[in-house]
Amino acid sequence: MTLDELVRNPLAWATVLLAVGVWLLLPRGTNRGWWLGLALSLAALGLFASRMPVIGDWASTGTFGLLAAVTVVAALFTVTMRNPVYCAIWFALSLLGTAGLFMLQGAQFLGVATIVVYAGAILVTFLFVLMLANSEGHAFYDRLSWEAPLSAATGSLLIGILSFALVGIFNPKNSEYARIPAVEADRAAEILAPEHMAHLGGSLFGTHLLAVELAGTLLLVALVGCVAIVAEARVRKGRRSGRAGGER
Amino acid sequence: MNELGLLENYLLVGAVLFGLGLIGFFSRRNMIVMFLCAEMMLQGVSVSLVAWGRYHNNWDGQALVIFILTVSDW
Repeated sequence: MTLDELVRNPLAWATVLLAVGVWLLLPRGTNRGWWLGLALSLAALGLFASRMPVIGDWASTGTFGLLAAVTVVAALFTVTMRNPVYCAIWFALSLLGTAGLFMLQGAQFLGVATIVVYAGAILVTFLFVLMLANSEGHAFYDRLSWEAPLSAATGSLLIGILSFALVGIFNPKNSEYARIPAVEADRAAEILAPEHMAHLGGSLFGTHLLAVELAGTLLLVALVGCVAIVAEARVRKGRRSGRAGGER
Repeated sequence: MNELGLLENYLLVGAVLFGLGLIGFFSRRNMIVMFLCAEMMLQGVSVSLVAWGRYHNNWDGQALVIFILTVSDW
């Protein structure tokens, strides 16, 4: 690939635009350039989206486009908002978009689990923590970033390289395109089957049984560690106040 | 439906989610926001895994996403 081809490739421009836009959006101690950053980032995301192939009729393409746009734009705001409460709320919207994308792929259980576990439990816990700990207003560290230009450039470069590879590989003009295995199996009988949970549970407790046990052990270890940390803190607190530790 | 196109679209969305989360994880200074950005990177990976699972007509992708949910939320 020559420099000339690189300059003419819209993905290279999208990468540069995304880096500059996200840098302008990130908290830098000033609000100047925020709208310009938003415009540049959205233009870059639009350029990335313009390289996407059409996936079928207009209804499925439109549904996918809407969900993907919601997910990605909400993710952009999660990363760049100054107030962590807004970050959490935008992240919830991004999770809803991801859950929709899972549903569109036929992964109903994962869509529902994402909403219940992430948006329902984790995010509400975070909001509680934020509101209890940060009630007096903005902290100085929310208005500044670590190495904003460098991190924006790194992440954008990663996105650029990945999308460049993807668009190159899935291009029908690619000489290796014929070697991509076209899986023509009957998806309606397997991955899109009506008895979704039965198949997923069968895979989970059949092929992945050992991993399920390991994950359960991991959760148990986490629980024991949590209890140990709290007990230790209580002992220390009891000693400091002169009473015998651990009596309560 | 164009399965190959669907796979490419989902992988692109996953890559963008992963990259944005990476930017946030590097640059933000609030512990909770950094955690949210790490979760966003995991979401990007999950989207890719589900897409591969559907493309290969195989349940392993979705089973792996369940493990991601478990480990990231403990």
